[in-house]
Amino acid sequence: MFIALRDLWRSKLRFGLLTGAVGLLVFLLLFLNTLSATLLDFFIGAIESNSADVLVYEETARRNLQASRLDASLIDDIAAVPGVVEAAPVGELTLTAQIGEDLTDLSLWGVDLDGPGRPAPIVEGRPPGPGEVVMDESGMAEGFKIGETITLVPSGTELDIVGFVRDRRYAVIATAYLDFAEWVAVFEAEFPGTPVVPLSLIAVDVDDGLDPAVVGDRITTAVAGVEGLDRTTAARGTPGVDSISQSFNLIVGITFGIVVLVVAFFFLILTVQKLRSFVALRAIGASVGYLARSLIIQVIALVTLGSLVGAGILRVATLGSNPAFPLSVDGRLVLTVTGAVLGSSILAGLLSVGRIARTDPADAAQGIR
Amino acid sequence: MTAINVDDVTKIYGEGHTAVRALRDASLELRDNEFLALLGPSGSGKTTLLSVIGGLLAPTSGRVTIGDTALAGMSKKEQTRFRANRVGFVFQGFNLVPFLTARENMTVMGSISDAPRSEIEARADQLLDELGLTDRKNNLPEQLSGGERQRVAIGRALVTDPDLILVDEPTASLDTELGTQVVRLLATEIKTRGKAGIMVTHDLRMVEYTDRTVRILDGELLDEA
Repeated sequence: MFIALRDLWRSKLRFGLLTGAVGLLVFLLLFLNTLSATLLDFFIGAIESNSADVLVYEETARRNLQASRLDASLIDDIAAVPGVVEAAPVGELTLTAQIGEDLTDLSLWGVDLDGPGRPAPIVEGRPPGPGEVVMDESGMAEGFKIGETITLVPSGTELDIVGFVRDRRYAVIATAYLDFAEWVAVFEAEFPGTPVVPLSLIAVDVDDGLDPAVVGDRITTAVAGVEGLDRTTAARGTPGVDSISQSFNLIVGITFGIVVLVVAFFFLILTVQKLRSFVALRAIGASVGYLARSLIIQVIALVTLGSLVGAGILRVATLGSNPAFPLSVDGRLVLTVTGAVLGSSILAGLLSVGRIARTDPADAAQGIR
Repeated sequence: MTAINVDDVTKIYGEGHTAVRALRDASLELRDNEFLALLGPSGSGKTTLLSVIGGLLAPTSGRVTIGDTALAGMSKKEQTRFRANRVGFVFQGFNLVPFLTARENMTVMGSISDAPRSEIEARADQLLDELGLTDRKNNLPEQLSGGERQRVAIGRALVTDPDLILVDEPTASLDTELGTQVVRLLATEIKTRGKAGIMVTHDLRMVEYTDRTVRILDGELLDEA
């Protein structure tokens, strides 16, 4: 502690610059993670945060909601599977909608308002009645307001916005929920002459204490032509999610590696530069452990400060983010990233400790002959 | 009382054809309150002997005893603690820590040795006063003259109140006047505290401040001068 803090204090510029560099890299890590999380929330929030325990897809749809076509008669078959409390239809349509003078994409979900898959929690307004919808709250930033009317194109069907629901966006476009019977009417109006209106999914609630994944497997086994999945599996299985996650993970992984290497090389360079001092200190009785602790204290101080700088920059960046794609500081993410960078940096600092351990204290006397 | 007993010590660097015998059957005894000059030309083995006595180097054969402590058989950790608590080194190149002030270069021993920190700090202030460095105590080594740095190194060697002070060429990078002043100061500090001290030098003018002189040539200790 004695030499660690004094060294930090007397080399403020050097350590300050590295703290800044670590801060920027940590910011990049946090920002990429935040961006990835927000993007995935917008992409599959409607599935991941669905109020149903299990979502049932058409078996050949390969977990693609928009390719899934189910017959309504399957609801009773699924409801009869042991562990299923209730099963309800879910329909999804991606449409063009007009709000005011503007045209926009809209994902319209028809659900049982009181059953599995119901839009909840309502964070503003009230549940929809006939001719009404609730929207995912991210729509507020895009100009959707309670009391406004959405006009579907080309049918001209009008739907009034009466509330907002949390974390239920789908496919990164504005998402609205209405009663399933209303949705069927919209479907028929948009696609006149359709003999049968297919369901996209069947939402299922399971008995308390039962693992939804287990019940999902039972449904898959018991009912021909369907695949029952718990919400997390269904969300992660949505086409495109893997690619997005892998791309971000790769970039985050590379950035993480760079942070750790920067810290490792910095301390290794400093160690080599200060080797004469370390040799002298060892000669007068400083143990390797003492010098290692000093170095690790510096690593901890530097990475912690750098992480605070990174979190601070992220905070500023989120304040300036587009309201339609809001980014926010997730304290848990900051702690996780800081912890991971810190742990890895300490390990990287052991390179320098190893270099110190290899010094021979006799060099303090011998080396200057 | 015998402070240092060097008994038949040999030190060989390297092996086979590259082996260099730096010390040959060296034997030496030093009492408390005795300041000895180890005189010899460059490469004679002075620094090696000093390093062996200070627990920095292990002898190839022979035995070194400091007070009642035999250095042979000590683990690296024990050697480190021994150096921190019982030996005060003044190296030829001062070897001060560049990012610590004059006072901190002394008080750092409070976090290295077993002595209580408060005791080290009080002794550091006393030594700074005795060494005429009070006004320079907050200066970094780079802001100090050669003589001042040497005095800081002496202060660091004394601050733990060690049994043994080992000094390597204290005048090497100083002019005659400053060198004499530093050695006189060193002798005073060692004698005042009743310590045993060995000063390696090749400067004959400095031996008058020591109690006795031992010559070393090609690793062999010769008769006392």
